[in-house]
Amino acid sequence: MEQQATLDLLYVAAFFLGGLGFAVGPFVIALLLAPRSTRNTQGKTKQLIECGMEPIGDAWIRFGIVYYLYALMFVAFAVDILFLFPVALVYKSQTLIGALDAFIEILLFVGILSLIIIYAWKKGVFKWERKIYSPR
Amino acid sequence: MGTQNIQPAIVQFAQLDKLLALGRANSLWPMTFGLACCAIEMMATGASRFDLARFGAEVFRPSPRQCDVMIVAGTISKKMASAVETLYDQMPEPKWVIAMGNCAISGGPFVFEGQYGIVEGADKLFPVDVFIPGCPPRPEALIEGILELEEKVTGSRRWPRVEVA
Amino acid sequence: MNCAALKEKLAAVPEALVSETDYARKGFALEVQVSPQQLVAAVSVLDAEGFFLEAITGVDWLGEQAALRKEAEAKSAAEAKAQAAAAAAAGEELPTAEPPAEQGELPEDELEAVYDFNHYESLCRVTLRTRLPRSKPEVPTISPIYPGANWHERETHDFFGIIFVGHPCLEPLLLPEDADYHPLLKDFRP
Repeated sequence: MEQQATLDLLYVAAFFLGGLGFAVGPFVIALLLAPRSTRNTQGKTKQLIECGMEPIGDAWIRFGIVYYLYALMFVAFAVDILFLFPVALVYKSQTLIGALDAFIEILLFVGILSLIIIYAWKKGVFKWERKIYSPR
Repeated sequence: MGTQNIQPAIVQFAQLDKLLALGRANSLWPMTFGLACCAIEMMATGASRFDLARFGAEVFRPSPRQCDVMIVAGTISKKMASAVETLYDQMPEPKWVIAMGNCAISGGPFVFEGQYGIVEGADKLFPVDVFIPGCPPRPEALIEGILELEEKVTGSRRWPRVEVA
Repeated sequence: MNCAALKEKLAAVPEALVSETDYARKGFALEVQVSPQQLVAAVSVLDAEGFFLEAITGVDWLGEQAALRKEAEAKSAAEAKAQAAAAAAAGEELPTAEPPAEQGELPEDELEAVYDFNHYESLCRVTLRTRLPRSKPEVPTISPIYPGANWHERETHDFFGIIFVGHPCLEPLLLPEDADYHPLLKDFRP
């Protein structure tokens, strides 16, 4: 039992390290292989990009509040997916009744969560409001 | 004027250079820098008939930080010169410049005694690697320019040069 | 709205000279010459009639006064000659020719601002012209009436040096920002 647990832990650790490698690897490779400076004519290499012009104002601007609602929807369904992972482990069953039982349970779970979409729809979250700002 | 020696990479050896040069040559990402009429020909080259995507160069990036090659397509007016130089500065190494069309090579048809408006050639601002003459050059000429640049980067040409019989 | 009614309204603007031209030859149906002070009034008339602005440009009339004087001198000389020839043919005594009038200083040459207007629904292109003295080429801006004139006036200022009084921002549009020369003037030497 101990050995099985350790082995499982090893698998998880291997996956974790692999993921980390995928994420951090390109940064390290680029750091090692890229030239460290660039030829320039005006010394404007570090300037913020504004299509060749002098930047006007800051990059941290106010953006529309409707994006917050999209993010909220995403978070809700991401948590939904999280719950489906452990379900996959107990899904298989020997008998048809057992399988159907599990299937209907998961269907109910997802169905109740999908009421979120209907609620959001009715509230108008999915309608992209084109806000006409006040005339000058 | 843009000819400083640049600090090379931390890790560098010949075989890796060859591999990287191969990779870079076959996926040159141009910057959308169409200034005038040559821009139309550049767009035509990127479109379906004269496909630039088959050479890996279809991904035209508007941001200089993400591209390898700046195709200066069109006349550089004196007012625009500072913007062009700024964008050249903001491109990371390794970078190349293609001067497309007569205006980018030497001012083109707008050069006369006492002209007040244009910069006579992109190489007055920064070093240029490939010159593509024409007014405007045909899309095939731009493709030939890209192939020339690939040859300059890797040392070998993708297709043999066409000999006119 | 037809061209004839518009002509009446424009003629009502003081010091305006309205003339109908051959559209097929000149490309515009009405040509209006106004003074700089009456420009805004004339443009308001056009705005009320629903015209849109097509372009603003300038003309440099350098050398016009000299050429006009030369033409006048040549004409009077030719007249005198014709008179003398007629008198000689008739055998009459000719009164001694008066010396030509003492010519004073040439009046100053002028710059001209040209405004083209057009109408969406009916065919009536109108050209508005104002003459300005070359040493002080100031004309009121029409950008409060036609906001699109903002850039046209900047370009005209860029290339001719005509100053549009009251313009919010008369920076060079096509020339570099620090340009202090006006290339389309006839005495521009690079």
